[in-house]
Amino acid sequence: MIAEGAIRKMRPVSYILAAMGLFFTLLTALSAQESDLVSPAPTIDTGKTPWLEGVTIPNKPLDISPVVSADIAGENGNPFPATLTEDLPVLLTAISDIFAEKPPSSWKGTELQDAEWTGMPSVRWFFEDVRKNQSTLASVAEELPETQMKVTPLDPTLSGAVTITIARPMKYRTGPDSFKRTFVNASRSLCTVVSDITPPVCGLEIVAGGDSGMVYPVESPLHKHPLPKLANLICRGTLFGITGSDEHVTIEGIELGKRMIVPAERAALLLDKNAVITLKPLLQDNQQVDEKSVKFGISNGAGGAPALVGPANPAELNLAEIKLPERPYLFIEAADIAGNIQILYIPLKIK
Amino acid sequence: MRSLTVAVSTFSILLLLACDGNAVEATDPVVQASESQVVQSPETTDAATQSSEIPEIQPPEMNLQVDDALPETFRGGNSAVGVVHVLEDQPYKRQENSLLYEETPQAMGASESATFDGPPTINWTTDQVGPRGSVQTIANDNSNKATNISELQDPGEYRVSNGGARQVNSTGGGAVSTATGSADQIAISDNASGTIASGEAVIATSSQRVTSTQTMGVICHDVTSPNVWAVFQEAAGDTREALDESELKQKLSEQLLAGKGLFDPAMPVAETLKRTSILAVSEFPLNKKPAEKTAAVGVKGPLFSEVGKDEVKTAGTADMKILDVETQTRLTEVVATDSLKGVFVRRNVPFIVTALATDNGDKCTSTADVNCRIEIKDGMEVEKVDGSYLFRIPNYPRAEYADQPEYLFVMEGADKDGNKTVVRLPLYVLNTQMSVEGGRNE
Repeated sequence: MIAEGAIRKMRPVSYILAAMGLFFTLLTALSAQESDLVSPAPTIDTGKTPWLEGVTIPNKPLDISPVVSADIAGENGNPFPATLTEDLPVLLTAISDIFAEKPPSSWKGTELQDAEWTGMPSVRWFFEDVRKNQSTLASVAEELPETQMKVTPLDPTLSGAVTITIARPMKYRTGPDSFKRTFVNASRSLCTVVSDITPPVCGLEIVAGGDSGMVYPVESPLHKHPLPKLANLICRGTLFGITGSDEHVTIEGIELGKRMIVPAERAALLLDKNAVITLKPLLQDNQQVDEKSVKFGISNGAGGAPALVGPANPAELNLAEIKLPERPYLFIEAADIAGNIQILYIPLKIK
Repeated sequence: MRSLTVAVSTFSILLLLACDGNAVEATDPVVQASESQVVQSPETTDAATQSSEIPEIQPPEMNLQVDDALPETFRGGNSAVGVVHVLEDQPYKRQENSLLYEETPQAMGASESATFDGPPTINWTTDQVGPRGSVQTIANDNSNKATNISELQDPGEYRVSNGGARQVNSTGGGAVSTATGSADQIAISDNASGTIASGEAVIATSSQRVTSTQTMGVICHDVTSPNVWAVFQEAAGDTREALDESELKQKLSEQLLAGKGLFDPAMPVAETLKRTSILAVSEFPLNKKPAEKTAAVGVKGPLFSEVGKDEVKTAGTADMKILDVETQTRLTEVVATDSLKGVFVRRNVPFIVTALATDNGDKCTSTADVNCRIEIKDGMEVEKVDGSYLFRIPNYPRAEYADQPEYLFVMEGADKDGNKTVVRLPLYVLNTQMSVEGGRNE
């Protein structure tokens, strides 16, 4: 308060200065009040944060919206697994105060009187590939408690994450007969590695003169569990046709792994004994082929480790220069970076 | 002087409020927690655990908004409910913001040396709230953008949420990381086993995936006129036993629900309805923007042709016009056009008519009664004779029967939100001796 006696002794100039001071003081105070009510629009550099393009709202909510903690546990209360296996479902459980009997009774120093939940929680589970910045919403057909979800990572990754977001509506008293409704939120994301259990699906492309052929496996059905993984072997091209016709043979249900042998009675590469062939490996894996492991050429027989005949990994082979074994096969052997190995054998028939 | 005193006092209160606000900010439980917790990963080695004495960053709050949403008081709403009101099929821009999306993580409580490792992963998720409070996620858009333009296609209650997750790398002090496995606090390795390379002079690095999320309740309002269908059954000229009105209504209900209220000229029609005539008004195309909504007017049977031609066709479309600007309700009005002149009945042939409606408010999973009647043009309702309509004197062609009354077939359907469909078609009474084969009236 300003004493009246002091005012009486003030000169006119002092009155003006005092009035101006008071005006600016009030202006500042009003501005402060306004900024408390309406946060300023954010300054966004879309060159540095392009995902914020078009955003005009502050980075904090203006109204009360409590955030509570959340965590993710593995099966039977075990810690969240640091490693998951592709195609293998894992039962995860969300742990959060959002499932408690009552919502928070205060938030940021404000008491939330007579707080009550007003609805069921929304629980969303995501599997994320951090490097690819891709997120997939998990869903499950079977009936599970609201806190649980079976997550099946479909692709191996060294940078996976499981993320949950949970929201639940609540209300709190704002007056004798009035309530305000809002949402309580919780979220958590935990990194994990998804190990690769699928061997590579590598093949060979063969060219001999004007003829060519390709052999490669296609995982079928995809994401099969339990093991073994199965594949269809595709053999196509004129080198598989007796009369030089373009053949297309699919051999179904071959176990994907170290013993993938094209049955000679189904398909065989028909080559002239003096043929000069070029070989090109077709490398593919659901994660990454370890290129150093790739080996291809001619093998004596099929099954087990290849018995190499002639040079390894030849870009070109002159069959006349190789003493072909009694049961010659082309082969390709490859491993992925997780160590899964695939060996594919293709029988040769020498004309 | 008193006013000055009040002003100064007000300023003092404002100042106190501002200070109080700061104090509240300082006691933010999220911030407090971030400063006190030490993260421990279940599968880290002792050395790694010792090294990762880097405070865990708590999920920052998120702001979420729907631009250009309807007023809180829309259709009886109020601000205490805390929901956003939108119209079905209308695209709205949503936007969100959080400290998680900034250039650096320090504002979230991260250490000075901490950095974001890449952009955030952003999901926009929509949950539908069922009639008994059940919640089902119906859509997710992993757009990695903080804005999103989308619409809800069905009226009802929803929860729209945004969730963000982002990797933060924090550098700790001087310890050697020999951690194996990979939990949330372990840097992601580049080899298959998940083992992190160790080195004597390596500075321990902790990688945390920080999250932020926010949800809002959304009420999506119905601005689509209901689908209304009427079925006419003549009680003469058919050797088979005719249905009574309740049976006819039951068959019509089954027909509506089978097609979710939509009229399709190629739709299969129940055997018992094959000798009837059907007039249908249904939303088409589905889910157009509110300003562009239209309904198709479909007819099946001989009563919509003055020569009794039995045909199935879409006879035209009608705009869904705004019925009430404030509540944004819609009205579909069907009147006579060149392609649908009216309903043509034969004199001395009794007929019954019944009508039902379906609405997108419940995804057309139920039917409701619709008021249908025949009026004389002055508004007086024509009375039934023994439960059926029966006209003994023709009034068509009008030029020949100018002295006879003009009749209107009237059908009015409404949904619970006040959207209406109204049909007012002339009803003409033809000479009973009409020759269908001749294609003319006698």
